[in-house]
Amino acid sequence: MIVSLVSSDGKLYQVDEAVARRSGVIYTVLEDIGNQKPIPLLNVPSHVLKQVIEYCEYHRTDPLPQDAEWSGPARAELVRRKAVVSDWDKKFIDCDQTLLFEIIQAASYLDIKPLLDLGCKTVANMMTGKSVEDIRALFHIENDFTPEEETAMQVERSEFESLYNIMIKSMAGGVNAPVTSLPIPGKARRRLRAPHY
Amino acid sequence: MTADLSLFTLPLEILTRIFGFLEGRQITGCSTVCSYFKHAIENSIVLQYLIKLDMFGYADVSGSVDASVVPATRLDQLERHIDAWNNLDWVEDVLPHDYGFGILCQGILATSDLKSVHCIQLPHLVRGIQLRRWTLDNLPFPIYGIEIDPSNDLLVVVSRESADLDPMGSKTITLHLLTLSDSRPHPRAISHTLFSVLTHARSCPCPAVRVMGCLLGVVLYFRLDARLEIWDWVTGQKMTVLEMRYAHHVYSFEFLSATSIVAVLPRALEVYQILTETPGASPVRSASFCLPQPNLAQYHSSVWVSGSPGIDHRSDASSFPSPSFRLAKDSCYLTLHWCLSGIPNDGFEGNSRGVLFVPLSSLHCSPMYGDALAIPWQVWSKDVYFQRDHGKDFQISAGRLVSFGRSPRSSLHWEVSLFDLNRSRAGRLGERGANPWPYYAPSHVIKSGILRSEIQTEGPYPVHLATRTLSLDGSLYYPAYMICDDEHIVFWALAIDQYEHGGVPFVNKLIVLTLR
Repeated sequence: MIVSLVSSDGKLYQVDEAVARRSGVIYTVLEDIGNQKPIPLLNVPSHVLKQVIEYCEYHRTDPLPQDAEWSGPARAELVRRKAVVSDWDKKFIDCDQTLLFEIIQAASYLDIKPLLDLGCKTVANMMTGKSVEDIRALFHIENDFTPEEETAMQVERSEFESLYNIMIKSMAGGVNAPVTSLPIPGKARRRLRAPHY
Repeated sequence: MTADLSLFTLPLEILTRIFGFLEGRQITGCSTVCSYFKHAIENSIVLQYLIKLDMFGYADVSGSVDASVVPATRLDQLERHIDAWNNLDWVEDVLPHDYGFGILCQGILATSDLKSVHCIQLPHLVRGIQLRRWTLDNLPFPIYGIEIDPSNDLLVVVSRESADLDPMGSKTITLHLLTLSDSRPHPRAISHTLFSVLTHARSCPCPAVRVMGCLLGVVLYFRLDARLEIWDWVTGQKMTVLEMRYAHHVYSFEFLSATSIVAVLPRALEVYQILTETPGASPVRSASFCLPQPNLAQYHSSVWVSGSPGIDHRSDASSFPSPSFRLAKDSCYLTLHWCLSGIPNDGFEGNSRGVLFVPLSSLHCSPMYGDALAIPWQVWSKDVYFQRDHGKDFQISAGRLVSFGRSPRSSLHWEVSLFDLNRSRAGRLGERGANPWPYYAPSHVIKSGILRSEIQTEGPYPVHLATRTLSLDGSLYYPAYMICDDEHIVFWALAIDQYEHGGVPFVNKLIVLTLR
């Protein structure tokens, strides 16, 4: 069976039913109305739809994801976090920011969970390990906080950080400097290096 | 379509989803990027939950929560859990207990004597866990030592039998794999005896056994040497062997994760990676840390890891409830406990005991092969307060130091105090006050060619959180030991007349503090 999809700019795409059914929205349409006429996708332009179809073609045989949305708090989150991204997926999602966000939006609109997660994870990875300024620069976001708000947040933030780090920091230097001059027996007796902090 | 599509214009639920992939501390960072992010983060309960988990160093235990629990409830549970920990707002139960003291793991206290294993499932009324006792007493071999892992329903029994007609007195050590619930041969294990080994050691100490998921580690002592063996108890395969040059070279060991162990050698702490893909390969030493050692006359040390890192490997078949929250790995502590003698001029007379707390994260983050690194470490000597039963015993759980002893105000009362290891305040040695854990850091300087130890007297103290007096009558009972896990603190109380008259002490009470 072939399903016809129409993008927002009026281009017609013909795909296998199995491929089209990976989208929750199209699945519901096919169940409810049947495969009679082309399905218009008003929010998805053709260059995005092409990408989405490519993804669905590649993953056509994957098992459909169970709807595990918040089936335990954050557990779905944790499970997804651990999932390994395949090389093909990595290459597929390696595109410029605008297209990435368009794909995410389309995946959300068409209800394709694995693609949505792939996109979200990619964005999250872009943010990991970056400072606030870097994130602003990366995504062209303007800082719309007033200076007062910003100081208040700084204080909050430093309290949070201190909860983690005071132990490590206090151990790193000063009074509590690590012992580096101890003799170590046998094989372990090597060049001693000061730890990097 | 939209040419200016950016992160900023994505709908709220997608933004929330993206943040869900980040660590808690990174999420808080993102909330300072712009007001839209801040709004998204503050209004998502799931994100708030992730932030709180990370902030207090916890992790969600998969399998412990049923699917109907919504994030809001879980967040609420977490907040109550943290509050209860910080305020010692615990439920106190007194249980009669006529056996010895044992090991506590995930709410199960197991005690063994020569013929039987006595188990207690500690009650937790809030979570609907009832007190349950059972005894496994039809075991066909004499019990020498046990180890339990309730998450896999596993009971490891070490038996020791003398070989017949052997003038050398050699012994056979055997490891049996049974179910904790009914002492059947464990269904997941291929064979119910893992291995059997003959040893000629004259004094043959009980092999220390530790279990982590499918891996089982055991130290075997022979006449001249000792061996640390790691087995896969499910397949019955020997994974790796760490040869020791002489007996008691390994004081103690613990699993750090499913692929690494830490072993305490006489003067160093070494981390080894187990190559689980290639059974039989020798373990790779990934880090070695020298121990602070003011004096060469160190004679004993033992190590344990707080938190329950093994619970990642929970098997669904287990009928035992798992704790509601698990400590995240980087907030677990490795505790090294050692005794040494004669530190001059520091106010510690005679034998001194030291406790070393090492955050596990620091062991993982500097795995330089072959290099001996000095670890960042904290020592609080328990010695000063140890006299006269103040600071009788201590344990670490959930990033807190739990210490118990006689109340300084009344010798008839026992109290338990809680200190936060993650936070500390400045202080000076000798300021005893409410804090029984003076900070103590030996440093080593070479003066006129001689290596000397100097004691630093200033440094951080763990922050005192709460103290609670036990309802136990101190004139009748004597709390001898304490043990704790993430949700319970258990004291083993002896009747005092038996204790003082030196007879075989009967255990009369277990005092169980359960987290609300």
